[in-house]
Formats: sequence, structure tokens, C-alpha cells
Amino acid sequence: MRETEFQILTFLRKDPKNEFSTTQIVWAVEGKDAEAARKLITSDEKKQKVHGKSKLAQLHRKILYHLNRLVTEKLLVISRIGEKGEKYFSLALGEGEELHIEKNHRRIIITRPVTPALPIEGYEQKGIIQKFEEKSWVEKLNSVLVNAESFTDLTNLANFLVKSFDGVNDVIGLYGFERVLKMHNDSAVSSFMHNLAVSCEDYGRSICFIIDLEKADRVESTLPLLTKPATDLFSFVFEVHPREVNKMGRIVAEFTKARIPLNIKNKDQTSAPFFVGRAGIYNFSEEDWRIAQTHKSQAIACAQSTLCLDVYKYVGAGKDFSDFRKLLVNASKALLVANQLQRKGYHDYFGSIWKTASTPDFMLFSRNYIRFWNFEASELPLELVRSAKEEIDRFSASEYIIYQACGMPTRFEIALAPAFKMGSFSPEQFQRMEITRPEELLSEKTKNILRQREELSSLFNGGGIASFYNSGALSLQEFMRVLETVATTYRFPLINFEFKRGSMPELKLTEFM
Amino acid sequence: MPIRGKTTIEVWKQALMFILENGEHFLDSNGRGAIEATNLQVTIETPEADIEEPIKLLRRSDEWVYPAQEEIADIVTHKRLSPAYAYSYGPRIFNFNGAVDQIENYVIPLLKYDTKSRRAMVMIWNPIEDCRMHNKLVPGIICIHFLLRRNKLNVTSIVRSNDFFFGWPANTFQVFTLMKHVAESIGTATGSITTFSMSAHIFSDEVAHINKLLRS
Repeated sequence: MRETEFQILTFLRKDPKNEFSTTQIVWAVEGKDAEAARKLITSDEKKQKVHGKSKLAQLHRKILYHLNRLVTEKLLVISRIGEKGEKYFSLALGEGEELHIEKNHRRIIITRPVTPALPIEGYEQKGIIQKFEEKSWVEKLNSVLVNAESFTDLTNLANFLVKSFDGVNDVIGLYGFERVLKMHNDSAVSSFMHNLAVSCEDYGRSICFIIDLEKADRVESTLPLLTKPATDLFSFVFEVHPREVNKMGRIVAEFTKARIPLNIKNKDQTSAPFFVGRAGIYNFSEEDWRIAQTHKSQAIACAQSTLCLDVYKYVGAGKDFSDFRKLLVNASKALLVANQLQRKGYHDYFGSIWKTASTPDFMLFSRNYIRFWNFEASELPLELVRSAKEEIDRFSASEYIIYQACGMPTRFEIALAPAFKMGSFSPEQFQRMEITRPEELLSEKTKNILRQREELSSLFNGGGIASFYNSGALSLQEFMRVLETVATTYRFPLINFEFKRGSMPELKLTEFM
Repeated sequence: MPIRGKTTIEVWKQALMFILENGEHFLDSNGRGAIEATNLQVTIETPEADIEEPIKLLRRSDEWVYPAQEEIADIVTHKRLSPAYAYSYGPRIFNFNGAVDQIENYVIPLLKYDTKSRRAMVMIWNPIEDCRMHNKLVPGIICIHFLLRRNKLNVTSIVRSNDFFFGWPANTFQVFTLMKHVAESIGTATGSITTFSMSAHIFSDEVAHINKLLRS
């Protein structure tokens, strides 16, 4: 076996159930050369650009040659052909099978672990429960928080983020990004954002930039740099005290123009960071965050595994809530099994990100998520959710005690949160509410709806959110009044605004959650 | 009063009964009701016969998910520290303080060289890491002693704090896993396991489950 093929298998070993695109494999095996080629592609000189593209194509051809050899040897299979004709590969290995490969006195063993039967499989078959990113449900973390403040060099930060993609299947929250904006000039920030956007597109991972407006002193001048990269894989959370929301006019205007969703974290409600992934919102508990801040780690895991529950489908036409508590406890048991498997393969799955982060506290604050889709339409009583939450908290606490008694002190915690859309779940059943004038926020009807959502949000310890969507006309001033009223009147830790179309004069808000 | 029996199940039940009947009730530092017997000595004469049984029993319950046997064993056999655990026995046994492999470089060669040795001791408690006032996540097993007598390897473990219902089955299985490895390495049979628990306790919220177990 050739060295490149050995390296390809070593890379795939980290995640034996998953498939990888040719691009991902090129970057994993020929990372240095690929990075050099990319630098040439992004240069201003046309000749250099052409040279870079040719170099990258050469690397693709080289890796494809070896991948095809491994397919011929029946070690790999082509799992699918992507949109632009790109081939995806996975290991030709069944559950429980092992593959032993030796080269130059080095030996790698690739195993595809057997996933034990889980007490949610019946619900999965009915489409009520889905594992978020099923193929890497065990092998990757959902999200990690990286502390931008611990990097003085932007290249190191970019390299760290790209390396972390290996162990993450949803999003990386980049905390303290205001410091990056403060410490580096526009050109450096622009290049950082551009290169990171390219990497996010290559790897299909998201980054959420968390900016504390209280600590930031030049956010407004850098807004075009933040909104310029044309990728949906970037998101932004601005941390602000409600009394300072009125200073966000330029940010709102810029994000509206760029049609980028605006997320505002209410610092009066929570000091822990909130960030946005494809699955939904991620956060830490206040207590955990208080401790995490004293540790000053470069990176900490935030979410391990996620199960999404289509509440509307679960409740169905008969409005039957009878085994809801049991369903959530079963989901918790399934997450416990996922965590057991993760611990077993820890060094293979997340070893590289942990080593890079170089902190013993990496897993100390992580949680699992149960996310609810179409919750409101289901008419599920909040009291039932509250009592189910108490039951899963008791279950988590007793598991912690059992593991500790066995000399295996490990964390097991579950957070509840709303889900963003999942593939085969029921269509959106959200009750839409348009806010066309700030005065509408004073109507009893609007107040009642917001109060109900506020109560629901308080149940979601994994990240409560109020989302608004524009579909009509509001001037910037009117929009700012709406924002200020919502931020100061209600206890939503995170407020999200989507600017779907048009410029500010056409802006109109429709709420959904 | 030392408790002694042939099988693991027999000894476990005897010890639980002893704590229930003779233990002292108290509230632990987390405010959890407990019943405690101090300095409890328990010997399993032939652990090989059924060391896994208590774990299998605990794993049958629907009310909790008991750790898998494989993961329980991994804790003493894995030499690399995993950040998924606050501490782990394996790295302390095989790479104590980043310096000493107490099994491969000490216990096994020692017992091969001097079959009568009384020095085959593995330390798990590490004062450098563990003697910190507010650190509650410290090992329960303090040390493990290996003694070769009549061609059998006998092991004694000293346990600082032992939840006898949930913890003891796993702890004893971990000690057995290590014992089996050493016995195989020096070419001898496994003998008895003695655990000496300075605080052998059960919790009040476990009593109903314990009574059910004792009736079975």
C-alpha cells in the first residue's frame, strides 16, 4: 500500500461511518499543498491565480487516483456523486467489522462499532424523532466554542478553526470576535473572513461570530467586512444590554442590506454565550459558563449529540400526550448510549481537536440536546414539558451519581431547545404574526403571544429565542423601536431578525418560532 | 466484622445486608441520606466464577442505565487519559504522574522475580492531584496490593469511599480486570479479592432497590 493511501485510510478511520468528499480528503491528506494553492488562488495576480487553480486540480487528480485504487481493492466505496460531480467516499466496512492495515511497522485498525438498539427506534421509524446528522451522530460533536481572545495571530486562529472542523458536525461559535476586530486591520480581517468562508464552504461547516458590543470599539467601521463574504455558513450574534440596543442602527441597516439574519443576545438575561447552528441555538448554563470563564481554555465542547423531536407529528390529530415523559426519558437514554460510544472512541473522534485545544477541560461543559420542532402548533401543555424536563434532569443526575460511584466521573447533561427545520419533519405550522407598526406591540393580542413565547423560551435551557421575520414596511426608526421594545420588555435571551427581502422602507416583521 | 464468601453475588448481598442492619444513618456533604459502615472488609474467594453477575443484574433495570462492562474495564486498562472523565484509573496505574508504569514495569517483573514479595503495590491516590480542598472528584480506590500465595494471585484493594450498591460491583470488576492481566502475565491462576472500604455506604434512595435485590 502506498503512503498516500495509508494516509487516506488513517483519515477515514476517525469517522468510519461517514462519507467524505474528494475535497475533504484532499485537504486532510495534502493540507499544506492545498493551503499553498489556495493562497495563490486568492492572490491579486492573474498568473498566480491560474497557477494556484492548476496546482489544486493536480492535487485532486492525485488523490482521486489513490481513492480509485482503494475502491478497486474494495477498501472504499463511492457513496454518492455530489452536485458538481464530486465523488464522495466511505469505508467499505459493515457494522462490527474490523480492517487491519500495516505499513512500515505502523498498523492501523479501523472498526465500525455496532450501535446498540436504542429505545427511540420506533419513533424514528414513524418520523417523530431524528438524530441530527445521523451519520456522524456519535463520531462528531455538534458544536464547539472557540475563544478568539486566546489567539493573537489570525493565521493560527484560522488554522485552529479549520482543524476543528474534523470533530464538529454543525457549528463553531467564535467567542470574543470583537477582540479580533480591535486587534487587526481591515485588510487582515477581510482576508481572514474570505479564507474562512472558502473553508466553511469546502467542509460544509458553519461559524457563528459572537461580538460583544460593550467591548467593541470599531464594529461599525468593519461591518462591510463582516457582511461581504457570500456564504450562508456564517452567522452573527451581537451581545448587548437592552438599554444599548438603540445604538445598533448601523448594524441593523447593514445586515438588512446584506439580508443576513441578525441575532441579538440580551446580556441582562444571560452572560453565557449563545450561538446559532443549523440544528438550532446552542448555549451554556450560567453556572458552567461562570466556571468556564475562570479556566480560559482555547476551546470547549458545547454540544455532543442531538435528537430532534417533531412535536406536531408526535401529538398527531388525536392530541395524545400520554407517553411524552417516557418519550423524553427514552431520548435521554439514547443520548446516554451515544455518549458512551463517544467516550470509547474519544481519541479517534475528537482527539485532534482536543489536542489542538490543549485543555483538560474540553468536555467539562458539554451537553446533549433534545430539540422540539413545531412545538406551538402541537398544543402540548407547557406544564407537561416542565415535568418531563424535571424527569430527565433527575435521570441525568442519577446517571452522573452511578458513573461517579463506579469510578468513572463523567458529565451527562441534557438541554432542551427549539429545532430549526429537519429534513422529513412536518411542514412549518407556526402561527405568523405581522408587526407592521411599532404600536402593534402594545396590543393585548401581541402581548399575549409574546408572553406565551417568553414562557416557552424560559423552559428551553438550551437556548430560548424569539424570531422575527420581515414581510412589510417599517422605517429604520420604526424597526429600531420594535427591537428596543422587544429587548427591554420581554425576557428573551436571544432575539433573531430575518431580513428576507427588500430594503429598510419595505421592512415588516412577522414573528415565527 | 469481615464478610467472606465464595461468589461475588453472595458476598455483595451479605455486605449490603450488613450495612442495612448495622450501618449508621447520616447526611453526606451533598445532603443525601446515607447509611454507613466504616472499615468494612469483604473477601470473594473465587471471583472468577461470577465477577460479572452484579453488573449484569444492575444492567437489567429499566430505572437507570448502568455502565457497560466494557467501559467499566476500560477505566483500568486504558493508559491514555480521556477528557471525558474527571479522572481515570488507567493512566494512574500505567503512567503514574507521567512517570511510572506500576504494572508492566514494577508489579509483573517483581512477582516474576520474587514470588513471595509483599511489595507488589499499585498506588492510585496521587497527593499532587488529589489533595486539594475543593476537589471532590477524586478516586475511590486508593491502592491495590497483589500477593502471590499457593500459586494463586490474591488481591486487596483499599477503597476510600464505596457506594456498595452502585459502586462496589464496578470497582471490584475493575480490580479483577487488573488482577487477571497480572495473573496471565506471570503465569498463575487468580485467587481471592478482598476489598477494604473505609466508608462502605448505601444511600437512603437506594434502599428500596436493595431490599428488592436481597429478596431475589
